[in-house]
Amino acid sequence: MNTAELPMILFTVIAQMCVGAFVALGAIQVFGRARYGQRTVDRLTDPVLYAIGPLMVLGLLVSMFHMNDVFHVFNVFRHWNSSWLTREIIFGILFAGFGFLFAFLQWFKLASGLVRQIVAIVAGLFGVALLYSMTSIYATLVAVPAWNTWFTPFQFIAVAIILGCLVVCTALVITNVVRDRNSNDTKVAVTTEVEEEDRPSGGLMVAVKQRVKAINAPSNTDEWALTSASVRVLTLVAMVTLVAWIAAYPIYISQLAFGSQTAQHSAHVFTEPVFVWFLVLASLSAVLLGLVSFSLVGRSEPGRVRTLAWAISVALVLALAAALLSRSIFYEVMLRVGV
Amino acid sequence: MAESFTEPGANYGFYFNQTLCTGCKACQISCQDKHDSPVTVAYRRVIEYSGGSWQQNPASGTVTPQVFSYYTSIACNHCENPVCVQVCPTTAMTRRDDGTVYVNQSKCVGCRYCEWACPYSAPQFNVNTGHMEKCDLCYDYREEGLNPACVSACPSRALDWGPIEELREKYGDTDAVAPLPDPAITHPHLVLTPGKAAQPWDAGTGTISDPQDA
Repeated sequence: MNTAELPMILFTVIAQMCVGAFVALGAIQVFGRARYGQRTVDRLTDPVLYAIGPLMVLGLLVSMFHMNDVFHVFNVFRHWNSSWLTREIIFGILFAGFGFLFAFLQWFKLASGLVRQIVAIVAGLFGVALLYSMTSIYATLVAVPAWNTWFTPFQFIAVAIILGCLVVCTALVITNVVRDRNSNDTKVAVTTEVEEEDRPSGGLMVAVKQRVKAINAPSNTDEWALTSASVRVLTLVAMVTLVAWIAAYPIYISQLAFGSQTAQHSAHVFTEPVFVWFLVLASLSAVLLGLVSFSLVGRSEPGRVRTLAWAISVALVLALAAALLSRSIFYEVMLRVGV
Repeated sequence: MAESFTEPGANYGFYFNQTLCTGCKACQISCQDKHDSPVTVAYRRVIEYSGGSWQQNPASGTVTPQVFSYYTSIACNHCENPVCVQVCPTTAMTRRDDGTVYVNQSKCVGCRYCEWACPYSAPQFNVNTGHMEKCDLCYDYREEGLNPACVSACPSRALDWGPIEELREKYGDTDAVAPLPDPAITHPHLVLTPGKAAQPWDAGTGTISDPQDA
């Protein structure tokens, strides 16, 4: 395990997870709205949205540990016209900033639905730009043959899709469990829908409390239908991506093994046990996701989602551990040509 | 008045004569001494590259060993296409008007991205300051009309420096031997006279004998 690059391992995986989750939420919004309506879609996506923000802020904070002189940290914005590292930081902050703005507007139902949508789309685009610049930091380094390949963008995008889908699925199902618990709680008497005309009134704390109650209000049938459909599709997408990711490794390793002397040395890293652990964890996660997508979702219903919640949470933990191990290997294979 | 060794547009570089180098590392030590560098920071390094094979003689049925081992003294080459400058997020990695590249210590954040990008390991991380450092061709010495420390220290006169076009005119245009990288990556301001046993940069016939030192 490469502990020297721990800040970068955590930052890249967390940021990719957040971008993937934001895009997955966008997909639920786009595809779910037509059939289930805006209210149902918002009820599902809002709580997940509030989980992404703190995660992204955590990722950016962790990345600071990569800087050895934090007092000079504001200089990193200077070279935007040349350095992919500068662009990554700028897009990371813009993604987090617009994501926060969208979450804020959504929470208090401020501005019109169209404006909120535009803010969300802009945040998503900054997320994609963050992913692209993060990839380019490594893939453009000609001196590092193990990074200067198609596999760098491939694995970064794969991690974004897998973890993004799984974070959203886990949050959707756990939200459902929490809401089910509230359905038996007589103390919770709230409306389930907050629209422009229902904007919380009173002071800030009152507004926040009202919103929390609204978010935690029991689910209805439509919400469960959209939840199960989303989980079925997203776990399938995550599983297929996981299998493709695992299958791509032999191609990548053989390209290194038949490459330059430096590339061959990089290929040796894959003989270490950490790679075996990656394969085991990623495979287990893929099997579990297959089980969830093809069987468990169909057998779950409102009030009986605990098994599903456990299965998805375990699949997420396994996939996250696999992603962290693979990212550790990614920094381990960093060998430069020359001296 | 001292001769000016910091002419704008001169595009200074190094010359290294491998046939004269004995691997004594006086250049490396004089550089570390001049810059008061910690042991782990070496703007100039002397790298030993060795390898070999056997040549079979079918007529006599014998095999003859063919081995090689030689030294390459390398520092920053103040490249035409300095990747360290391109990737640096802070613009701390700066090119002077005379073509030499240096680290502006008031800007460097110590992210070490330049270290990943440079195939010559020119940018070096100083753990005491948290910043990158590198050879600036002894700018302070040159301002006083002096040669860089490594060039002056070499007992066999294997090193020289000057405007790259003058060096190429004088010594030729070879700019890579193994284990140096493909010169097309950065177009180094470097001229070499290869030793007798020198291997082409892309031959892959040997290994660096002392990777820790390198």
